[in-house]
Amino acid sequence: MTETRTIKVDALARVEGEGALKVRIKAGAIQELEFRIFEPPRFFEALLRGRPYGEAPDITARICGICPIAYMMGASQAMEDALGVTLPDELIALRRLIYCGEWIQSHVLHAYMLHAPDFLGFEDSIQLARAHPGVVERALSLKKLGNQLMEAVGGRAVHPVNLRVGGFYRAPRRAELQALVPALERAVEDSRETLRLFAGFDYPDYRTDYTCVSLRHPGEYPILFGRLISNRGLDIGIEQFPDHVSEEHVARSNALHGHLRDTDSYLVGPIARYNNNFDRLSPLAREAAAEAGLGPVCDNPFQSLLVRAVEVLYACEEALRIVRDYREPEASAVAIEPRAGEGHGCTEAPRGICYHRYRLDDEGRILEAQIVPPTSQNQRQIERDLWGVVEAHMDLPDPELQWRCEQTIRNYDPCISCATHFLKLSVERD
Amino acid sequence: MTPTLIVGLGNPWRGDDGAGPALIRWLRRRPLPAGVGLREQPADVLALLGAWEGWPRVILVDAMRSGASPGTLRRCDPVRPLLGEGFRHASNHRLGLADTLELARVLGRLPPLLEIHAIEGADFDSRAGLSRPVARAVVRLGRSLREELLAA
Repeated sequence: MTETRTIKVDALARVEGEGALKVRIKAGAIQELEFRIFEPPRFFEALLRGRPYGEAPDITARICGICPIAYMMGASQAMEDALGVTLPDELIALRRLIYCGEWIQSHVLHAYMLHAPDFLGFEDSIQLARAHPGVVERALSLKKLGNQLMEAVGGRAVHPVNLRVGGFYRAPRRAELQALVPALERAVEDSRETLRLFAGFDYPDYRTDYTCVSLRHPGEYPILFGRLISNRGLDIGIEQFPDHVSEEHVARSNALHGHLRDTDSYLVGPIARYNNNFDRLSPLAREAAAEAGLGPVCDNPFQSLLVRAVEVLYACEEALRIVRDYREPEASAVAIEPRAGEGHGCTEAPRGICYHRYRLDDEGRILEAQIVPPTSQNQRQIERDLWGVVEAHMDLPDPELQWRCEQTIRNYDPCISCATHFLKLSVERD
Repeated sequence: MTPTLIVGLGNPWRGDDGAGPALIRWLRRRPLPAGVGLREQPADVLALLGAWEGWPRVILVDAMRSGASPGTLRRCDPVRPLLGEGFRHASNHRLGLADTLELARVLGRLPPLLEIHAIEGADFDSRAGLSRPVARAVVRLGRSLREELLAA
């Protein structure tokens, strides 16, 4: 059969920002498969040059409207590394708290509004809301709690204003955080309900032997700190990230593909974290994962939905723990003396490891910046998954195959706006 | 005067997409009657459902790309076709404005009075700052909204 089928989606529905997908099939074989993301050429890294170190968190927060904390934390920690500064435990706890807020609101929005409709046969969250308003209300309530945590610590949910290199402009009062306890307790329950709901979905049987890359920490499920590990023997300090991960500018896409030395493709994000750190989850989270049908390792990208829900539960519990234990710090930030140096910061954004490196001059001004978002690291893996899904479902009619491809991409919750420019929508079929 | 929340939607780092927040900053620098709330919403449009709770009147301001000449101002009521099928957002709001409003309607969470003011953008490239026509449109709209609120 010589007929050529082309499936082209110039803009993908229900992903953050926009991306494009092109698949060309001829005579029952895949000829071409491209997942395209467009990135403004190094806009933020260029913008940072010459700026004082203290501006990096605020500037990089603008890279992503959904995960500003990931950028602010990565930038702050990289600067603190460069300037030889360590934060006391109370300030670190506050950082972990606000980061929990970000995980919650990002994961909930993706899981309920962007991803779950796929499993229920709905086109979008509006159809879901019409059929199951209570489900969407629960999502909004959880998301609101995530935003409240970000406001309580960060002063504002979108582009928080209270965070700085060295700590905060103002530490919240104990009473302000305690006020969130009832909402947090409800959120733990709502997260369990979420897992029960998602556990009932039909998950396509698709398995991948991922190379999972994430942080690993001796005492906790990793968010802010850890060594960089994989399930294939990688175990390095984050300062060695540039020696192991190179950025490859692929001609067809303006986005840079993250390329791990000696590895074809790798995965960052919830599944990678979960697989590498299952033993670090709370007992409740592990039990809820098992109830939902997850083992200690998840190799099905469609079940990322379940893993995100487990992480939401964990984040709610962790936030509750931090709030209950919170002691107001003596100072809201550590004193800093600018000096020349190079520093690295790598934290677990909702979508995976987000790496920052900066070089500073004597006055603490930025000479050089390098930022590697999680989605650019998942690029190649997304394409691999698409290849597998298309091969497995080639007999489906085009509209269904297209929908499967879009769903496959949505499994990754790609934050295309971490890197991109947007496109106009058009759908073509040959 | 009916308590009114004015929300400027858009990302200030994507050129003319920053029109909404620019309008809010313009209004903030000027005296306004009591009962007017101002909010910048650079991302996470869905959060509006929580943010506008309790406000009897909400005005949303955002950039648009409709083919009109840059700086054109348009006012619409959410039920009109402007926010129907095929309307795409010239920004990277995670759940687009049209979807968020429809979701709010389905859940019974729209404010009693809601109007949208859109400013035609010229350039949505990654950069800080508005194009000239959009900057002028922001001032025009700011003046008009302020006059209306002061007169109420």
